[in-house]
Amino acid sequence: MSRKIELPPQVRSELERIVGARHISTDPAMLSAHAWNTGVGKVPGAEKFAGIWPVAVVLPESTEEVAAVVKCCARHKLHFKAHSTGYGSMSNACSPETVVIDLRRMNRLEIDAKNRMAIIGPYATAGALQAEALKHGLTCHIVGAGPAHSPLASATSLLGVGVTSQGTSMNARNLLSWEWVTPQGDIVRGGTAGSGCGWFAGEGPGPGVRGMIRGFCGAAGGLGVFTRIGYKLYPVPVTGPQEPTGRLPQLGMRIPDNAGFLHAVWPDWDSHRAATFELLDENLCFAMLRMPPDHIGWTVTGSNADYVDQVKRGALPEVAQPASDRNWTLLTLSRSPAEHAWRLGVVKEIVRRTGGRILELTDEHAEVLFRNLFTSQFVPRVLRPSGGITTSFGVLDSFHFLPRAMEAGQECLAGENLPGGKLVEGGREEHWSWPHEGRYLWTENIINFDPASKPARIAAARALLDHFAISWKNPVGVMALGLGPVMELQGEQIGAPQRYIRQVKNRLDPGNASRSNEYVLPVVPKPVAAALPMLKPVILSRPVLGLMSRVVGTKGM
Amino acid sequence: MHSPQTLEDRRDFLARCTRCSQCKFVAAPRSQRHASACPSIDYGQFHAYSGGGQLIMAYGLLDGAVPHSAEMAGAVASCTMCGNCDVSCKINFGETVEPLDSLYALRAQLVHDGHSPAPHRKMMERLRRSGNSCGQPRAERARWADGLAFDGMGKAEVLLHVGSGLAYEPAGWPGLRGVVATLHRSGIAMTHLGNEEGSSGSLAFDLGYVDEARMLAQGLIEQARQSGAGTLVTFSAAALSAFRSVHPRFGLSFGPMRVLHITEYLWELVEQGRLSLAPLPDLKGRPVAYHDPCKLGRLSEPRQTQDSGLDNRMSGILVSRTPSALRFGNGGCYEAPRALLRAMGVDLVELERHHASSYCCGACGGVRETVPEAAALAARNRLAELQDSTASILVSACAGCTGHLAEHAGSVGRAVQIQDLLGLLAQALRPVPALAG
Amino acid sequence: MGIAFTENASRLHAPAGIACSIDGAELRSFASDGDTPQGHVPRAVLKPRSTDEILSLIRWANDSGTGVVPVSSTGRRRRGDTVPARDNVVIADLSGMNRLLHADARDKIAILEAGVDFGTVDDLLQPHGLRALRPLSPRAGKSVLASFLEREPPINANDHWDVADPFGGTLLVLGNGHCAPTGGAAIEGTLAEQLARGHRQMMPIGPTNLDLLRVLQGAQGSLGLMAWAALYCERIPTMERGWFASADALEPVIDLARELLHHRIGNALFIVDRVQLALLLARDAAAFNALCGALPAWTLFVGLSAGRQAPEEKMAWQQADLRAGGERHGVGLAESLAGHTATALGQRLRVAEPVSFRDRVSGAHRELFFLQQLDRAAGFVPLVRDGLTKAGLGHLPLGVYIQPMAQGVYGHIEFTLPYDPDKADDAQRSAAAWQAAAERCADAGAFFSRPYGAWSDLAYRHDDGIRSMMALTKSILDPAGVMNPNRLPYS
Ligand code: SF4
Ligand code: SF4
Repeated sequence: MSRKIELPPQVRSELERIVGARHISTDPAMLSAHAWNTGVGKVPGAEKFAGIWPVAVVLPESTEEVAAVVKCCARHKLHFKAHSTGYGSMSNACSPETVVIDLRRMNRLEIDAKNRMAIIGPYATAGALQAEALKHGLTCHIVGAGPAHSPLASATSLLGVGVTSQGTSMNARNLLSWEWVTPQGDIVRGGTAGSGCGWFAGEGPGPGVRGMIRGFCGAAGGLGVFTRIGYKLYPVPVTGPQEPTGRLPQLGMRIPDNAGFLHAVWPDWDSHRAATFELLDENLCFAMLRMPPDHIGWTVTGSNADYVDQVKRGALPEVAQPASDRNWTLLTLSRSPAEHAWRLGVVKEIVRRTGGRILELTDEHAEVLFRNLFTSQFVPRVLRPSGGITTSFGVLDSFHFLPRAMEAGQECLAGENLPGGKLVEGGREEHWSWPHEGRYLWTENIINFDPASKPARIAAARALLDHFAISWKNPVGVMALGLGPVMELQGEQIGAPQRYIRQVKNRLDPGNASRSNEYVLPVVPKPVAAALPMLKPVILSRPVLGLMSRVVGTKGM
Repeated sequence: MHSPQTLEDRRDFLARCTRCSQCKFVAAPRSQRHASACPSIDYGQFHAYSGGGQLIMAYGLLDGAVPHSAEMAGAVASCTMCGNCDVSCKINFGETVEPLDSLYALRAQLVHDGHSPAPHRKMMERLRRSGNSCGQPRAERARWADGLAFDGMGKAEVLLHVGSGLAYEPAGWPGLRGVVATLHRSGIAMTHLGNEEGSSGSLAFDLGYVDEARMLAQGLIEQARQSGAGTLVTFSAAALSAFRSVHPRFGLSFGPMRVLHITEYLWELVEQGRLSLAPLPDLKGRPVAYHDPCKLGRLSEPRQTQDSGLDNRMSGILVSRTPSALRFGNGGCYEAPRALLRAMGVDLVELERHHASSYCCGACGGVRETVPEAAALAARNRLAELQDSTASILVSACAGCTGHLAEHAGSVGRAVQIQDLLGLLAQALRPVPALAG
Repeated sequence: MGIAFTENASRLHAPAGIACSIDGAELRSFASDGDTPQGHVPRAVLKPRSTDEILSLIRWANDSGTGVVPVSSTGRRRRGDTVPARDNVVIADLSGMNRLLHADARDKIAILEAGVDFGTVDDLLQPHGLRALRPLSPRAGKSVLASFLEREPPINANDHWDVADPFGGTLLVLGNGHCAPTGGAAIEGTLAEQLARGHRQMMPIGPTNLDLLRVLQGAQGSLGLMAWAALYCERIPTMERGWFASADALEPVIDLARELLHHRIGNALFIVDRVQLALLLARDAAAFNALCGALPAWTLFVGLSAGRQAPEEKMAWQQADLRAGGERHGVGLAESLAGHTATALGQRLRVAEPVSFRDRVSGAHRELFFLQQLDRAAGFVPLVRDGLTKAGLGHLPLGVYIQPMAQGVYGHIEFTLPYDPDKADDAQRSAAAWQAAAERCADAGAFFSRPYGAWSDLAYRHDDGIRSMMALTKSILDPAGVMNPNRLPYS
């Protein structure tokens, strides 16, 4: 544990007055959950606990309490970090003076079914929101973190992409009106909520200022606390709680009437891409997901033991065989038999015409895969094999780039995921891909590694860092991981967004009280800022990347 | 000799908690109100109160980063050891985290380090002294049986195990006695262990007193063996859970003796045509919900005496060495109580959380005695779920659940009725006369 | 008319190479618009032809302390946002930047310069098999980019996922004199290099922690301007047919619209009352009056279309669903009303005319629009109508237009009051009545996301910190305050 700060008694009693004595703790036992270094999405070091522990954790119940806590922190020169479900330790403290504001008690969830939206607090989870929304024939976007994540956190503060983006957009665009406690403790309501008109629109009057605090990515806790939002929902012809099918842990979901659930494969990426451009026509599919076959294997098996056993026996279903890698799982949702016949007929015809083939699925596999697609229930299973994942090639652009992205994914894995390599054995690449709103491609290459093994961590770090080098040499699309320090290297070539973001940060939070490692660097000395882009080729050279990987694999990131 | 895993044995499992929070929620929630899986976090709110949070705390304890403290003990003591987190976690993490085994190990560590919460210590003292955690006199353990006829040791085909919860709960005796009387009338040769009936070790194990749990288990097994009966039928959900999922951790078993819960046994007799169930006029056509007691449900899923280690395959995939022994919550005793209810003509409805995802009533794991507010909150949450269903009658097959839920039934709005399954069975069970010839 | 003003071009020291006009008549034409009688006369109209020229214009403005009011549309402007609100301002007239830079049916995307207007856009796109998403019958001279930058809602409600639609990536020039590529355009290389690599600027958000497109939308040119943008387009359908769904009350019509939106049926969907529909259909006053007498009270226009995938089949199930929905909600379906077919109206909506359809009959109109959820829309109609009656203006026709936005999460609710500008009494009294109507709507929950004219102050009467966020934004993106000065309340 790093330097441990004691919370002065006077500050403690002030905080107690705000949240109640029962809702504050400085005990390491209670703080430990806020210093746990899971490294989900990152590469952890050898230590399970982060170097930095917060000084206290508080559990406010209302926006006003959050604002009061933030102001109290400001008075006493403490920092704070907001935390909703805290999936994968995304919101750990970044300084020992940090008070963690755990928003668990703020779980408001109201469905406005007619207007296909919800009003939610930070601890309304996606699973709960979907359950409530389904009562009204609505569903919500669920990001890869799965049902336990906070849609508010995702929509305001992180990336917000999930497997059903074809039909449910992404969270930056699902965010409607918003309520926010600024880093200085002021309560700001954006859009309609600011005018007392409801929670349905986030922009105006006049400019859409939320674009200063939430872009493609959110500020990851680096810019105050979001406390309530309006959130867009998506109508589906499925109503009421869905009783699971199957046996634990392989819960399935009955495929609704007038729904098409198909898994198709193509002989090569070119024909797969040709099919994709047609499948994006006319909102044919509610969801389209490409998973690497080994990850499909993890989904259709209930344990690692079962998976490895089936691999060794060659018993995995065809969907999970390595040869089925040029695939789409396709979901059509219709409201009448005639619509269903059109959608399914057209989809099948496109598959046929483009040289694809529809694979047979057993009922059990179909229901499990359907549940996964509809609820993201098993997406977090990417952590099951080894407990360690990071990612690369989160890119967005035309599907034109799909074959190139696959190649690049393979290039950055550099064969380390082949038998004998340092990463978990898998396919040629490990891309999860899907379209957004019938428009563009999202694809992300998952890197699975054993976090307990240093060589594996180094190999994972290497693959992650290589992806930047590969991307910058020959871009594959807009890079999702263009965050924090990465922007210092890249930003000058794309309009220098980091400079504006830095201004926003420094103006709203001059003392950097709302501290986050995933947001912009608040201070970059001018010479460094000028030198960094020039140093890019050096930084991206093989020896330097190798060295950085070793550092990351040892110390974590 | 087999021993349950220590916290040190669990180190790598603890390390693998991804802090995903899935263990706070049931796998397939049907509403926000009843999405929680974990009564402990519902009470404590801090992440450390959840299954995953306890794993992290436990790792800190091993690592030296987290010293013992009253707050840690408070969080640990608020956990009912209900195992719901285990079911939810395994949905995605299979064999790699298995939180419940670590929760047992954490409690054992607290005991080992001398930090067992004071109420736990007290319960254990009473258990040592009088064979039950409430300190009831040993001499009154078999009072429930006064006046009932039994077959002597060595002559009985069935040994009845009552458990301290019911043995000292006179309100439950009419049901118990009624069922026993019907069995008797059916010609089943039965016996019981009288005042000397031992504890299954369930509570001791829950509280982290591993060695004592082993001794208690051994003692009861020995008693049972001496009875000469071929079948052990327990009225206690906690005991069944111990027999099926705790004793194997010690490598202990009842050997060739069959071990059944009373509901399983009765249903078997019904299916064999030796007993029948008459419809209960009071309940006819009324929707009735069944509360799966944790101990009877997911915690009774049989565990094998096993090596729960993992192998590293395919460059990092962690694979159970004994995959056939993996438990996901499917193997609990869920169907027999439901079948019995249905056979009584009851219109059975499911609460939002049922079977393996059933929400704990708050009574177990020593919580009722140690953190009564936490236990009360869990009961109220469960009763709210009943209120949100179409049923107003809740039946449980565990005397502990029934008593605890009934105690709090008054504190929730709409009138609800808590019924012990045993009491209903006592009214409905009929011996079927043996067919001539 | 505004302040008399003469200047010669050399005194202006405008950046070399940018076409510049100081023609008095032209300058004066920018000092007022359709509903802003008197503003400041700009010093010059500068007409950049490229992003580089825009940049040097803005940098010059920063150096010289000159204000810049961007204008991309031509013809009769309205709403005051392009009328200088102080002196020492030049107009940045982008209407000459009217090239289609790229179009691509495969990705349904086209890259347009700021000056491309609704009069020409479909002709430019047609060879590529595409056509633009469009607001309700925009006038021909209206810039496509400016329209969506002002958050004008497209009638293609099912494709309006989010307020940023139909934008993909864009290139902004900020008040600070720097380019800011947004979304899919924020990637290494020039546009030509990006296109050559295969990028299609399809992402509407970002880069990274910023979303400047969203910031500049609704800013009325007060933070920066847009040089070009990738816009999502519609593939030209292979089959298309329009329907009118009408009822005496608004609620069932909204219910049907909601249902269609929830089912994602219809490539165009909007609701109009009889006056607004008559304005859309009529070519002259006589026809207008006749239509007002003949049309149903409320009508949902539904455009059904099908593309290249089994179009007949698609049309069939869509029509069946529409019919069933109509029956369910008690809304009558018709292919034509008062001799006008919906299909023909659908086609007409794609042909932009020089004059707004709202002015066609009476010569002028007042407008009032705001956002609210669709289930609250009906409540505003009597508020405005009764107010007019009380003001003795019951004889004026009042048009209502409701445009579902964000796929039905909320709607743009618009009132149109056509009047004869030559009837001074009507003109004057309606101005006051209109202000009162705006206030009543504000009290009833109207959200003025686009603060113009009568309601620009009302929009800011609540201040939950938004004005300080606006001030922060202005100070970062346009620190010298050159962009459309005094237009929005930044301080
Ligand atoms: S115990 Fe399991 S479900 Fe809970 S946080 Fe840890 S990994 Fe997630
Ligand atoms: S055993 Fe039950 S009470 Fe304890 S942490 Fe797990 S779910 Fe919560």
